[in-house]
Order: sequence, then C-alpha cells, then structure tokens
Amino acid sequence: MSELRITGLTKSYGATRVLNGVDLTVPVGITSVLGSSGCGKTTLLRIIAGFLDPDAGSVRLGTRALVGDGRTVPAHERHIGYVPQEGALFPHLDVRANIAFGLPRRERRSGKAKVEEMLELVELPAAAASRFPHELSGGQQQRVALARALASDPAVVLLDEPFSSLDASLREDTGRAVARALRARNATPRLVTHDQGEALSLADQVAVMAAGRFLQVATPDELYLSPATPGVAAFVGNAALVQADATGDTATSTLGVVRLRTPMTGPVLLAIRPEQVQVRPAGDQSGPEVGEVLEVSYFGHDATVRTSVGDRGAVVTARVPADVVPAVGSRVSLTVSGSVIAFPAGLT
Amino acid sequence: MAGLSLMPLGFVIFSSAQVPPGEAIDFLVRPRIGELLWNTTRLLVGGVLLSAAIGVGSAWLVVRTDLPKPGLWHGLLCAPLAVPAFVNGFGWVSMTHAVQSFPGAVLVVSLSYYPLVYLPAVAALRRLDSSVEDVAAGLGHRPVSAFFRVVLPAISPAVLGGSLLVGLHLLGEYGALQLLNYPTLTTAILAQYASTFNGPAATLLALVLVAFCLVLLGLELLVRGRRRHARVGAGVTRSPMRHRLGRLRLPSVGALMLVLVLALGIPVLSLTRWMVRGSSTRFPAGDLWASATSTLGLAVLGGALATAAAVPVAWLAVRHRRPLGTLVERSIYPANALPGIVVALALVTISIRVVPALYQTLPVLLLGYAILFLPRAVVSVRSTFELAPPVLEDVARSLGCSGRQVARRVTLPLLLPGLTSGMALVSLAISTELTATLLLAPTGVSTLATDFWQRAASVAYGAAAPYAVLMILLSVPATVLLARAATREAR
Repeated sequence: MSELRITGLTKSYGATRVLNGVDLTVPVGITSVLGSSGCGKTTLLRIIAGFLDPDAGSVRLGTRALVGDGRTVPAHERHIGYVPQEGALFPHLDVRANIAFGLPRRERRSGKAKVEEMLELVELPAAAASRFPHELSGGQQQRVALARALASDPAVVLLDEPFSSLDASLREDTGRAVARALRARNATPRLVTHDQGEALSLADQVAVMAAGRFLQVATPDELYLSPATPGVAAFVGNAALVQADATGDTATSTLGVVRLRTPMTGPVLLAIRPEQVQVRPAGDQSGPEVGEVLEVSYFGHDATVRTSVGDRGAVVTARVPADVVPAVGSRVSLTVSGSVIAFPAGLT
Repeated sequence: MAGLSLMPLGFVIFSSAQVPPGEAIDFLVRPRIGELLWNTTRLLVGGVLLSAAIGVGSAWLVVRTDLPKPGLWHGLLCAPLAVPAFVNGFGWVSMTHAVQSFPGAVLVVSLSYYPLVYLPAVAALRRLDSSVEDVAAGLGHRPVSAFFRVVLPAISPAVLGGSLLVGLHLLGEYGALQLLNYPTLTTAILAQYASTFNGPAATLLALVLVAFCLVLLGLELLVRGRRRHARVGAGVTRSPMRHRLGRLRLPSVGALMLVLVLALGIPVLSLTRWMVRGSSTRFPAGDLWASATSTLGLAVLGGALATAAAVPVAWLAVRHRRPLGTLVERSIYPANALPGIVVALALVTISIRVVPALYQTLPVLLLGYAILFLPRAVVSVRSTFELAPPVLEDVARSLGCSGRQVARRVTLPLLLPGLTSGMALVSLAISTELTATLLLAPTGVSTLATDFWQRAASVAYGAAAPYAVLMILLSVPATVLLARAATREAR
C-alpha cells in the first residue's frame, strides 16, 4: 500500500492563514497530529479528504496526485475514509445501513457478513446492527462511524479528534477499542488528530502542530525524550518551562541546581516534567526552592500539584502519590531528580 | 421569489400613492373608517388573548399534568384545525343569533384559531427541561408561581409566534366575520370590491390593513426582543415530570371538554342538523364530486409549488448565512402577514394590466397560493434543513457518493419529513382558503370553500352543509399529520 505525502500546503480564510506551508509524510501505520484547537488540524484533514481546496501545495497518495499539478480529484473518487469529530452517523439509517453505506450496491444488499465483521472489529455486539444512531451512546456512535469508514477498505483513514466529544471514562475505553480496530488492519496510512497529549501510545508517528505548521514530526518516544522546542515539551510531556543559567553539565534555577541532559552554557529554558519533581513539606525551612501549593488535582492513584516557585512566579507541576498530597496553600520544598532537557533561551 | 412575495405589498403602496392625497384623507377620516378600526382592534386584542389563554392552558394540561389519556386529548384539541373559521361561524350563527356581537365574534374566532398557539406551545413544553421547574421549586416557588416565573417565560417565543399567527389570521378573516355580521377592515374591502371593483376605496382600506399587519409584526419583534432561550449546559433532558392535579382533575377535564364542545361540538352538531333537517338539503353528487376534486387538485398543486419554492429559500437561509440569504428569507414573511384579500387584489389588478390573458387562470391562482403560504412551507422546510448538517454530506462523499447520489441517499431522505409536513400545512390552508379563491379562481372552477360560501351566504344552510362536511373530512389527514409533528419534533 502507498503512503500519503503532503507538500507545501497553505490555506487562508480571509486574512487568517490557517495552514502555513505544511509538509508531512504519512507512512503505512498510525500517525497522530497533536495540536490545540484552532491550530489547523481539521482544515488539514478536510483538504486531504477533498472537502476543501488548498491555496497552494499538493497531496499525493503513492504516485497519484489528489491535489496539485493543477488538478483536483473530487472527494468521492479519493477513497479516503473520514470520521468527523461528532461521528456524524446518518440519522435516518440504522447501524447496519450506516456501515454498509459506502459498499457497492450489490454488497449493500447482501452485506450482512461484512457488517457483522465490522461490528466485531470495533467491539460492538452484533445486536447493535438494527439500532438507530439516537439509541447509541456517544462512544458507540464513534465506533460505528469508524466501522463505516473502514468497511469499504479505504486507501487512507482520517479521524478528527475522535475522543474529544467523549467524557473521561468513555475516552479510555473507546480509545483502546479504536486503537485496536485501527491496528487490526494496519496496511494503510491512518491519520488521527488529538487536542491534547493523550494517546501517544496509539501512534507510530506523532506530528505536533501549532499555528498552521508542524513543530516536530517524530516517533512517540523520540518526541518525549528529545522534544525539538520548548513548546513541544510543554504540550507533549506537560513540562513546566523554567528559566535557568547553564554552566556546562548543570544549570541554576529557582529550583536549585539541576543536571542537564546535554551540556550547555548561558541562559536556557528548562523543560521539567511532573514526574521529575519531588515534593516534601518545607516545615520552617526557607530557600529559593520553597514554593506554595496553588492547586491539587486527584487522579485516583496519584495527584498533580501545581506550585508557584521563586520570585519570578514560575509555576511547576509535580506528580505525587495520593497518600502524601500537600494541602493547598501549604509550603513545600521541591527537588528535581534526573537530568533535565534544556533549550537555549529565545527558542520557542 | 422574494420579488414575487413583495409584489402585493408594493402594489398596495403604489396604487394608494396614485389616489389624490386630498381625496385619500377625506376617505380615511370618515366615522365609518373609525368604526372599522375600532372593531378590528378590539377583535384583535380580544381574539389573541383568548386564543393564547386557551392554547397555553390546554397545552400545559396535556403535557405537564397527570390528565388521563393525554394522547387522546392532544388529538381532539388539534381537531379544530380541520374546521375552517367560516364553517365554525356558520355552525354558531345557524344555532343562535346571539353570537352576532363583539363577544360572540371573539369567542368564535378564538375557538377556531387557538390551535395555532396550542401546537407550538405543546412542542415547546415538551422540549423544556423540567429540571428548571425543579430548581424553581427548590428555590421555594409554588407550582403556580413557578409556571408564571419560569415556564411561561421559557416557552414565550413559541407562544408569541403562535399569537402573532392568530393576529394575522384575524386581520385577514373574512368568511366567519361576515357570517357573524361583524364588520372589520377585511369585510369592508370585500364589500367595496364587490360594489365598485377595485376602486380607490378598496386600495386605501388595504393600505390601512397592511399598516395594521406591519404594526403587529413590529410589536412581536419588540416583545420578543433580544432574549435568549437556549438550554444552558449539557446533560440529559429528563422526561417531563407531570404535576398531580388532585382535586382540580375534574374541573380541568371539564374545562377541556367545554373547549371541545364549543369548538367542535357546535359546528358538527349544527352541520348534522342541517344535513338531516334542512329544507334545502340536497346531495348533488356530481357537483360535490367536482368541487371536491378541484379542491384536492388545487391543494396538492399549490402545496407542491409552495414547498418546491421553499427549498431554495430555506437552503439559502441555513447554508449561506450571509446578508443576501437572510434578506431573501425575511422578505417572504411580510407576504404571510398580508391577508388573502390584499394578495388577491394585487394579483387581479396586475394580471389585468400586465398580462390580461392570465386574468382568472390557474397559474395566477396557484401563484396567489404560493405567495400566501410560502412562509409556512419555509418554516417547516428550514427546521429540517437544520437537522441535516453539511458534515453528513462530506462523509457520504468520502464514502464514494457523487453529488447526485449524496442528494438521493442522504439529503433528500433527511428533508422528506419536513417537505411532507410543509406540504400538508400548505395544502390544509389552501383547501379551506376562501377570500383569495373567490377573487382569483378561473370562471367555472369552484372549490368546496367557495361552493359552501355561496350557499351559506344566501342562507341555503341545508345545501351548504354537505360541502362543509366534505371540507372537514378532506382536512383530517393533514391535521393528523400536524398533530403528530408537534409531539415528534420535541424528541
């Protein structure tokens, strides 16, 4: 199967430039596009699917140009499966007819086996086939929408923020089911967008997007271990960005002296991940690394603690076990363990 | 389309401007005009208030209380839609002459038009999340005070819209008021038209009537204001809790019973009586058949035409929310406010002056219907367009459907319910339309309404009755459809 290649894509709505020269190669497998809402993800997907024409640039599937070279293949001839944010099941058709919608007429009539196969793929009971969309939960609708897109064996599958409309508990369940379904037939490029750093594990390749361009395209571990910019580090690892002065192997910041992963000198920006920060009650101890707890959020087995540190008001997030969570307003001392990623100051 | 819709309005203003100003003022300040204005105004106020009270009260009883058999009551309360106001007036007049007075006129028109408030009120009450009432109760409001402070404000857009419709219908009502011997602007226009054939008097009266309509439209806008009535926050809308009526149960059932007896019982009883006992009763099967088929034909043709015309208008308004689309959509509403008589006058005059060959022909009659009833079709087609978001069409295209296949397999099936109910709405209105049909129908073509009218107006009550009964029977399917739609759209 062939890969999807996007080159130099630009798109503006009026004076607002939504895509700003986007290049991306989507190989066979799952590629996640990460970015906050409004960064241009949906526009990118709509251009690939053929619902929108770009101002410039090209989209190619293998050797075939979908857009570019002065021609545009209409959406219905592209064979690209598309799952929009809200699922968008056809409300007048039951689940079976929805899934069979894209099959050729002959198969639609006798497509029972196919529909059952697809329902099994997205882990829904066969009995769901005769239900109507309004009788399904949000997560089930999302899975049927995926089944509908996969049923006609498309050359590319696009999922636009498949989990954004689901609440936290459904997110996890649906997320795993969708990931398994996408993995089960992994012979084509699949592009999934997300609005937060969730589900990194879902992807073979992750592209981080901001303001209409990609900041970094890499594998999940590469992205996590060596983010290209402070922005990527903050978005992917939820890292706090703290100013510091580097002198070779170490740097001095409001959190004391920390070890750097790579030697640097001069003013730097540290990306400190929540799991690198240890929190201890400060008692009457005082010093630069003592902070005040601003906010505590529980996540069952652990909690994240936001503290303000130092006179420049840096905010650092730490992850602590649920049994030693400090009270909001109390004073704590913070230490950073392990080596820290640093970026030269001025790079954003 | 917008131009056609605005044509009658333009005509009235244009031809009034041709009357010498002095003459016009002399005509308009006569005491007779003052009397007509007073009659029209108090009928408007009384009729709208009584219709709104009956409509909202019965809707609340049906949707929000433990009234026995709410489904049956709902059906019965919608049924007066099938009985045109002039048939209702006929029923009352032929029973007692006591209704030929102001209170009588208010009573009869309110009994005919309250479903226009009742239907939207039912739909709005069903949509209303009952938790707002729970919250009001939690804040210490008794059910009655919760109704006036929370429920009524929440459904006020629907009630206002319905009341506006009632007001506009009252302004255009001719048949019932003529039978009740209650002169208003509209009956005066027809009288003028009958005696002088579109002299300046009829046009000037039409201008006054149009001014009335615009005042009414403005008033509704003013009252509605910029209030927002969206539901706040997500969450499941719970099925409405029903209030226990307790000791009030019997009086409530009695009140609804009274409404039904007055609105349905009287006309049906009196029609039956005239059928059985009337000295002039005949059943001219041929004539009845001819006028039933022409009524049905006109209703279907006109309904299809208005609905077809509504599709592009609604499409522009929903999918292209730009100034042009909104302008086109808005421009058709004043036509709905114009009484049938004004539209008919305009079409008669314009067709005589511009294309005499078209005067009193089928195309002009159908055009008149389309102008009069396009807004109703647009309203129901528009609401279904909003149920068919463009993303569904995108998905269908990504699944390999070409433009035409998308229309056939996705868009059309989604629009079909709206198209059907739009057509039912328009067909129902056409099959009971009287004034425009009287003026515009080709020679030799008569509908059940005009046939009934001719006989009833010459006091041949027995001869008129079979036409009324047929008209009611023909209206039943469309009424059932509308009664169902009011409960379905709430889901």
